[in-house]
Amino acid sequence: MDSESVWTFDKLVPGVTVGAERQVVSQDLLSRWYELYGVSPLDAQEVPMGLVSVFSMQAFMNIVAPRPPGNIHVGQEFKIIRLPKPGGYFTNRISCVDKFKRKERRVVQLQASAVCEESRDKLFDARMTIFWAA
Amino acid sequence: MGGVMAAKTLPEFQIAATMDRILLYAGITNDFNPLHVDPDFARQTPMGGPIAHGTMSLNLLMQSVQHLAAGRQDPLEVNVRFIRPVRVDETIVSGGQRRDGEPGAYDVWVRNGDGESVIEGVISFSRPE
Repeated sequence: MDSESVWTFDKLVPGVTVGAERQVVSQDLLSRWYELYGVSPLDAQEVPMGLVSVFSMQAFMNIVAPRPPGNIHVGQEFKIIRLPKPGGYFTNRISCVDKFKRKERRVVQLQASAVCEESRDKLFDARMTIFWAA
Repeated sequence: MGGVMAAKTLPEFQIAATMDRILLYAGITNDFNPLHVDPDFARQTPMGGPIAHGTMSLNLLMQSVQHLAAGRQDPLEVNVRFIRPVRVDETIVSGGQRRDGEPGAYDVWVRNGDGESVIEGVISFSRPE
């Protein structure tokens, strides 16, 4: 890992977008979800709501990379306006909301904000609170 | 739908956090943090062994929430804290209970086999019935 490229605490700037990626509720993703959590009675009607956190983590992992080893995810907030539809594309944008130090801990809040590609409607916001390692 | 939202509790869901599931979840999220997927590495950390991804447990809770919310179209807010780790092969259960005096708000949780909370928080609908 090139230490110059690591997203350290000092490099993250509140209010600034880190990056964005295009995402889709694919059949492959749904299949793996059902393998993990089983099929529930609602699944024929709606996309699993937990995929909101999966998409947020995917965007975080792919965009804020590389990260210092040892980060700890301590809190999560969602505002879910509506769920993406199977096969529907959307853009998930990661931004730094806040960062501060508390009792020797470096605390970072990142937000994933998803917008439907077709309608431009907001789908969800997912804010994660992370103890940042370095 | 009114009958659904009159529910005092969330439907409970349960899974075992097996290593196979943790690896599958790492693949879904692209989160291959060695604390989750490398037993040798994880043994040398304060955790003493691999733990499940926090959001893997959170997603179980979201199943409970989705069943509570079935048919609703109004925005939903979720705010949770990860209280303690889930270790390999622990069974976890998700659930929750309506808050007295706060329409549309529920205290929610995920608990391990000892009944200890691994996740705690609150959910609220923007248009409480």
